[in-house]
Parts: sequence; C-alpha cells; structure tokens
Amino acid sequence: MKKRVLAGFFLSLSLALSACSGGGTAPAEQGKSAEGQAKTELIVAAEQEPVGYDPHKVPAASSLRVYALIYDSLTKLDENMNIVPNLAEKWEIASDGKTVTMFLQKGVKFHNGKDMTAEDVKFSFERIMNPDTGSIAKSYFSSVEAIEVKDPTTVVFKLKNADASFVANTASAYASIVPAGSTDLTKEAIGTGPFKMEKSESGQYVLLKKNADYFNKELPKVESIKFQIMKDEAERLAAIRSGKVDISMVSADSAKLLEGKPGVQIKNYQSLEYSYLGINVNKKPFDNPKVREAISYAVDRNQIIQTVWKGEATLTGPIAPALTNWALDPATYPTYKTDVEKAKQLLAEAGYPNGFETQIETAATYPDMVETAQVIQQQLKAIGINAKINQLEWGNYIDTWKSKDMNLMVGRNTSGVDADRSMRFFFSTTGSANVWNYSNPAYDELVQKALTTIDQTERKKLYDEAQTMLVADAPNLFLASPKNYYAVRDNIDFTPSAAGEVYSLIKTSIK
Amino acid sequence: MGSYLIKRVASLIPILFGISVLIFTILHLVPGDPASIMLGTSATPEAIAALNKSMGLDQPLINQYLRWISGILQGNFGVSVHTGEEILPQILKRFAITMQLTVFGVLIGWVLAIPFGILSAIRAHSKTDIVVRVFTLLGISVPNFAIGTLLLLGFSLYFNWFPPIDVVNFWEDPIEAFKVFILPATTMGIVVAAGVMRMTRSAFLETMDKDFIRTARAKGNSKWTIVMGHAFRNSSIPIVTIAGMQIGYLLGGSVIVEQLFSIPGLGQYILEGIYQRDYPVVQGGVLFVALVFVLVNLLIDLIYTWIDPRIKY
Amino acid sequence: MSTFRKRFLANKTAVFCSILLALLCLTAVLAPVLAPHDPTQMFQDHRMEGSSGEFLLGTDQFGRDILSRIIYGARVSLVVGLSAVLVSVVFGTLFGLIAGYFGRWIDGFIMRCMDVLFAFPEILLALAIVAALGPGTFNTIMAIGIVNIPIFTRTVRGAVLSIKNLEYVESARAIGASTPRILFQEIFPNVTAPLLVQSSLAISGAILTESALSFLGLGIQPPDPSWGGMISEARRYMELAPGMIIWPCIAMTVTILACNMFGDAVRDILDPRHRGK
Repeated sequence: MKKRVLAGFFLSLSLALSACSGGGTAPAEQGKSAEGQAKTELIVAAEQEPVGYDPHKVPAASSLRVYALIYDSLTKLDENMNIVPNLAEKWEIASDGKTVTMFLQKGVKFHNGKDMTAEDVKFSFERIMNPDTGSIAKSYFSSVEAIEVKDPTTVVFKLKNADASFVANTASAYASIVPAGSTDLTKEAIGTGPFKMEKSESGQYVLLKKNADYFNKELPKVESIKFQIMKDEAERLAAIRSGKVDISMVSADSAKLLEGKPGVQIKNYQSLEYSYLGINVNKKPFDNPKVREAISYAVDRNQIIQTVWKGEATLTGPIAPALTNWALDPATYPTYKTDVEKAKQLLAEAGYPNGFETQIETAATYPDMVETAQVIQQQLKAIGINAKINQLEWGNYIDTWKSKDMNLMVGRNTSGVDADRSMRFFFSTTGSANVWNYSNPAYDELVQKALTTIDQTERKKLYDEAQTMLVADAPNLFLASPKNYYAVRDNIDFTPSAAGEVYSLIKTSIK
Repeated sequence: MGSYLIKRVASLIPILFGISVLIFTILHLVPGDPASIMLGTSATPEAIAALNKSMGLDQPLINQYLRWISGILQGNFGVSVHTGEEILPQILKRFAITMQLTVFGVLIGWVLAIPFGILSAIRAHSKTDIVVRVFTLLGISVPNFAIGTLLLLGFSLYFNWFPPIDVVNFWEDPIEAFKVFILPATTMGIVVAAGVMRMTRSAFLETMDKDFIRTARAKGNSKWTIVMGHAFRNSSIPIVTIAGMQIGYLLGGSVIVEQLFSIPGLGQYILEGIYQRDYPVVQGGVLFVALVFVLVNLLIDLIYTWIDPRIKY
Repeated sequence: MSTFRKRFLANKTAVFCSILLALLCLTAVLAPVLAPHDPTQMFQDHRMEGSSGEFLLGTDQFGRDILSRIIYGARVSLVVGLSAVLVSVVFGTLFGLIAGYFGRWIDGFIMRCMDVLFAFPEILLALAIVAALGPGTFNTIMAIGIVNIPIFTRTVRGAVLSIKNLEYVESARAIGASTPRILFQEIFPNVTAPLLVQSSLAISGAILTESALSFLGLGIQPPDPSWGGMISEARRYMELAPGMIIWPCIAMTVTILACNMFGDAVRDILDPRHRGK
C-alpha cells in the first residue's frame, strides 16, 4: 500500500518534471555501453575518497583497497586466514626465533621495469621503521634489530627477541615493498602488484590497469578496475541496481532489500572488525571495577546484534571470531549473560544505588556506531545510568579518542591478522592504541610472553587466559563482529572473504 | 560608472582579507589535525607528529597564515596536505562542474517558476494560484536531501535508470552532461523554483496594481500585452535580485546535492577538506567561493543598470 | 498600533496561521501529555512497523513510536528555529541599529564584516562552527544563529536609514535625548515590522539548516528527536519504511507553511499597497 503511494507520487512528480524540462530524460539507456564487445573493466563503488597512496603513510581503508592492488607484501593471507607466500616464496625461522630469513621470488619486476631485489625489501622496511616516515606499521616491527641483504633474493631479519607475530605482520599492506630510493610516493605509485595506477581523478574515480608482467601469470583476470567514488548509500544502491557498478559494499539493511532482486547477488563474509564500548578506567566512577562489571551485565549484546546489525553479526571477545585460531568462544564469559538485577546490585555495591550521569562519544560518520550508542544508552537507563550521546564529526572523534579523557566511547576496531595486535597493541599498558588508561601488570606480562612464545599451543593458552582477564577487567565491552555485505552483479565472479577485498578482486573475473 | 567599478572592486579587498582570516581562525579552532585523522584510531603519537611535521603543521599559526596568504597573493594556492595535489587547478576544474550544476539548477527553477509565478499572480486566489503556492511551500519546506534521495530511488526503482557515473562537461558532450546533471539539478531546481515563484508572484501583484498598468488597462490593452510589455520589465528587478542571490548562494549551497549525487564539485571539495582537516584546500576553496559570490553580486548590480537605465552609479 | 491589530484580525490568513503556530507551540509544550510513548523507548519487537492501533504512525528502525517522536520533535525543532532566529535578531538588530544610525566608518566596518559572513557558504560556515564548538543543541543554535546575522543586520540598517532623518527623531535629538534612548525608544519600535516579517521567514530557514546539519551528522544529538534528524535518519530506510520519512516531512512542511504564510500576511498588513488583495 505504502509502496504504491510512493510510486504514484513519484510517477506524477516525474511526469511533471519531464513535462517541464522539455522532452524529459530518456530512460532505458543502461547497459548500452557494455554491449557489443566483451566487458573487461570491473567497476567497484568506493564509499570514501582515497587520501593518498603511500602504503607506509596512509592506513585509511579507502586508500588501502587501492594501493594494496598496486603493491605486494612479502607474505599474504589466504581466505582461511593462513599466511601464504607472496613476494617471499618461502621463509625460515631460526630455532631461537630471533632470525627470520626470507627467500624472494625470482624475476619479479616493478611497474617501471626494474627488478625487485633484497635491496628494495631492506629499503622498504627501513623506511617503515624510520620515525620520520610516520608509518603506523613501525610498531609492528619494533622487534627488528637489523636487516641484512645476503644476496639479491635473500633477506635476513635479525630480531631483538623472538616475535611470533613477525611473519604475520609482513602480510600487512602497510608493509608493502616499494622501489629502493623512493621518497615521495604521493606523486607516483610504482609497485610489483597485479595492477598499475592509470589515472586518479579526485572526487570521481581511480582507474587501475592490469600489470601484464605480474609474477603470477594467471592473475589478474580483468583488464582494469575502476573505483568509482559514491559516498551516499542510496546512490550506491541505485547504481548497482541499474548495473552502473559491478561491486559495491552495502549495509545489512540494503542487503536485505536487494536479496532476490534480478541481476544482483548478495555475498557476505564474517569480518575481522568488531564494535566496542570503550570505558575510561581512570575516570570516576568507571575506575571502580564493579561499575564496569555492572555495565557489562546491563548491556544486552544480542539486542545490539538484532537492532544495529539486523541479526547479521556474531558475539565477540577481544579477538574477532573470524580469527578462528585465536578467538575464545564468547559463551565462556560470565558477564555476557545480560542480568539487569545483578547489574543494579553491583552498582549499589559500588556506591551508586541510583546510578549516575555520563556521556557516550560516538562518530557521526558511521550510522552503526550512532545506532549502537543509542541502544546502549537505553540499556544503561534500565540500571539508572543516564548517558548523553555526543555524536562527533570524525576529526573531533579521533581527537577525543586520543585525549584519553573520554567517559564512554563507542567505536569499531579491526583485529589484526595476528592475536598480538588485538591484545597487546590495543590493551597493554604501553600499547599505542590503549587510550582507556587500562594498566594491568599481569595482563602485560601475559601478552608479552605470548609474543615471544613460538609454540602455537602454548601461545594459544596464554592468549586464552589474557582474553578472559580482559573481559573480566572490562576496559572495553566487546560487542559484535558484523558480517560485511557486498552486492555483486550476476555476471561478476567475486567472492569476498575476511582475507580482504584485494585478495578477492585479484581473482575476480567477468562472465 | 568606471569609477564606481573601481570603487566596488577595491572594496572587495578587505572583504576577501576578512574571509581569509575568519576561515583560517575557525579551521584551526576545530579540534583534530590532518595527521591523526589520516592515521585514525591505530595511530601512534610519533607517527602523528612526524606526519604533521612533514605537512608543515608544526609551525606557529601566524607563520602558517603568512606563508599561505603570501602564496595566495602570488596566485599560488598551495598543495593538498594529503595528496600533494595542486589546489588551484582542482578548484577551477571543480568550480566549472559546480557552475554547470548551479546554472542548470537555476534554469530548471526559472523555467518552472516564472510562468507559473506570473500565472498565479494574474489569477490570484484561483485554483491555479493555490496549486502553485502549495508546490512552492513543498519546495521550500522539504529538505533537499530528501527530495534528491526520492529522485534517485524513484528513477532506479521505477525506470531502472541511473545517471552516467562519470561527470562530463556540457561543452564536451551536452547530451551526456544533461543526463549526468539532470537529477541533481532538478533537486536544486525545485528549491530554486519555490523561491523564484514566490518572488515573481508578489512582484507581479505589486506592479499590476501600479498606476501605469491601470492606465494601460484603461486604454483597452489586452491582459497579456500588459503583462508582457509593461509588468514584466518592471517586475524583473526583484526577480533578477533573487536569481542572482540564488546563484551566489547555490555555489556554496550545492554541498549537500553534490555529496548526495557524488558530483565532484567545489562544495564537495571543501566539505571533504573540512572532514580531513586539509587546511589549504578549505582555505583556498572558501576564498574562491567568496570571490565568486562577491563578483556575482557586482554583476547583478550591473544588470540592474541594463534593465532599468534610470539606475545610475 | 491598534489599527495593526484590527487589520491583523481582519486578515484570515494571519489569524489562521497564528492559531496553527499556537497549536504547534502548545504541542511542543504539552509533548509529555500528548505523546502516547516515551520518544526514546525502543520496542524491540516492533521495529519498522506500519500504522497500528498502538503506534498510530508506525515505528522506526529501533522500534520507537514515530508519532511520539514527531510530537517531541516539535519541541526540538521549534526551540532550534526560534532560538537561532532570536540569536540572529538580537545581534542583527544591534549591529543594524548602530551601523544605520552612526553611519560613516562604523557603518562601513560593520557592513564589511557582514559581507564577510555573507559571502561564506552558509552550510559550510554552520558546519565549521559546529565542528569548532562541538556538538549539542546550544552550539547548533549558535551556529545557525550566527550564519543568519547578516540578513537581519541589513534589514534593520535599511529600515533605520529610511527613518533616522525623520522629524520625530530629529526632535528627540534636539531635546538632548541620549543616543541609546533614541536608538531603542524612538527608532527600534519602527523597525519591528520588517524584523517580524524577516524572522518568520528565517525560522523556516533555521529549521531547514538544522536538517542539513543532521544530514551531515552534526545536528541535534540522538536520541533526541528533531524533525530534520528524523528525516535524515529515515533516508536510509526510505524503501523499507516510507512512513519514517513521510511523517516528519509533513510535520516540517506544516510548520514552515505556517511561518511563511504568517510572514506574508504580516507583510501584506503592514504594506498598504497590498491591502485589498
């Protein structure tokens, strides 16, 4: 009924418009351009404009999805989150864990025709580790003491201490290999990757052309990829429907709408991201562990999954469940069982029988964060905590996050490919992303020990203990790890996975 | 006339200077800096400091301002702190796009508004008048992002039509450009039409009531001759005023429409600059918009003298 | 003034719009009594439902009652509209009176400052101010208010220029009345009419600007409902639940309609040339 009203209204509106604008617009033009000859260009809708293509300097996802196609790293992840060879065809780790030798693929060429050698690898890692570069990957490789070039295809990394996450970290696109001697990578992007930068038109699109000399001769399968910048979800939806773009990320809501529509398929995968409620453990009353426990009991994570993610998300602990090797089953956390009475009682024990007033900071840019904040606000109300929501513009949000002076904060994290990142980087006392003032010597010791433990079973045990400890201490409430959705045109063979969009795009073909 | 022009142009200088100071101050009052926004929540303090330093943002503010303004005076708008791209060519390219969008939008608005506005004035309080006035009210009271979304949704849902995704200039391919701009321009046009229609109606009502019209009527001229020959010229001054204001206003006000339809115009450039704290982009962009705005106003004043030769400066 | 009252009461549009506006204000004041539900309460099992006995206008994506949110939204939207315009009126009048009355360099200076503000793209200025001040109802009001100051300054200045050399002002000056006295007691009452007209138009502008800020994520903070915020939130669900966007749009249209028609009517009443139409 409502749909018909909308349709009727729209029809009359468009009639009026076409009557007035002289002849009107000619519909049914779609798909015309591609007919006649086989389609070889893949068009991907990009939600955000890239902010530069220097892989060592720009961590923004909008940039990464582009430069990760231009550059290669030493290793990469496959769809099962295993580390597999990339520029390095194999590697050896000495028994003390302190020496890692990488053996490079032979005959790999940069887009400018030069050979990729061990010198380039050494240069790239030194560039990352140089503080003046300002690379966020610097912290990934803090254990590196020296890099030695043994011969043109062999690089030896000398580590200060055993580092179980080292090889996994070399899979990051932030650790891309760039040509030796590069200074300003904003001006040109020369890598070894499957695609070359053809043209970047600010505000409109980024066009990548196939690298015919890519070292894996079978890939890529398309001639070019065009990232079309479309910031508004409504626009992306309309574009994928009419076939103007081939692949687009969509929200769970939009995925539901498109499901079963002709011409479009919906694909999803369990992402490495999770949403959280950050708690400043220095601020009164959150310095009291009982208050944090109470909040944990009061928050119904399942309602967040239902309301914000329309059921398309999984409960999560500190490590996203997609990292199946490391993540602990959330059922083992006692505070995940919503219990308002217990929460009230804990709050009373902490000296706040009538609750208190506080603030939740969230980012306006991301509707899911704003919605999560609103659900949490309602749930906290039930135990007498009145929270005011501050919806901040992204720059303000980052500034507040950095300040370490917030009360409560809703956000989203991406678990790295290795447990070390989720645990040490985010929550150890000196971890650079630990803005919650959380400091627990026992925890620090655990994660440090886990980092230097090479034996995987032993390491897993340490992380299990650390995860339990973290959830009990609750400097963050880990909420939900959403599925990511892609709308894909029928003639495109694209299978997304947690290994990342890039991994899938390289293999994508047009039917 | 000549001395008037010189005086007007000279008065632009303090305005533009004021704008440059204002935008610089507000921007630097806004919390956040380009490096931490770029690095996001995975940043380390050293990385932020290093990046800000490489962008020249560790200098005292006054030095940053002086460096920027002296660059502008030499016609050098600087480069984007993020992409290292020259700003002025971007501004010009994007301004061309915004200009086409705005002019097209205003045209659609006028084409809708002027005939209907006149009609509703001549037939004041008739059914036509009421319909026109209701449309006017919808145009000014429904937010343009809602109108734009409705247009996008409707065209894709009911006609399976979506505008071409690459923006083309009118002088390159008019037909393609027409398709690119039709939906965003219509979104703007509806709002424009509402304002112009209102103005046209009241301007006509006013002139129709003047003595010379009555005289003309008494002389037995037909209603339409009167409207076209007499009332139109005399009503055109307020209409030109509002149209000019709209062009000036829309140049900056097209932000939302550009954002909605991914039109890479100047408004979107500045908005993105604000989000990214790309100071030189925002400063240069706003200064440019302001310059255009002031020049458009000057142009309108000149058009006055052309429409009504009695106005002398 | 009594003739104004007589003419006002004789003007059907003016009376009708006044009643409508009064009703809207009453709705806003009585929101807690009128609203069937708490506007922030989430009925988990009733997300995005259509009209029903319990939820007359349906529910939104959280299962909140749309009718209650529209009723409470009247509060927020009217408060934002009125307060923002009040900010503009107060500063605009002050600057306009001073500029118009003193003329010379003071006039030049103030008007150049206004030109600076005016030449600034409105929504970008509001956005930058909100970003600088931080989010919140008060800051949103301030941002929208500041953006509109130049229009009021110009209106008041124009009116002052046209009356400052009239006899009664001259005579007040002659008997040695102080400048503030002349400004506020002699001149100000005569600029209220154009101010009133301008204000009624600016209120709708302010409500729209708030909705644009909401679209950019910087309007009124959730979960407080503002109509603009509701519309921009509902945009994402236009196809799934059209009611979410239609109802607040209607509420907004009615309010803006009332404000604008009221403004027009007052102008007609004040401007004798329009009489009898």
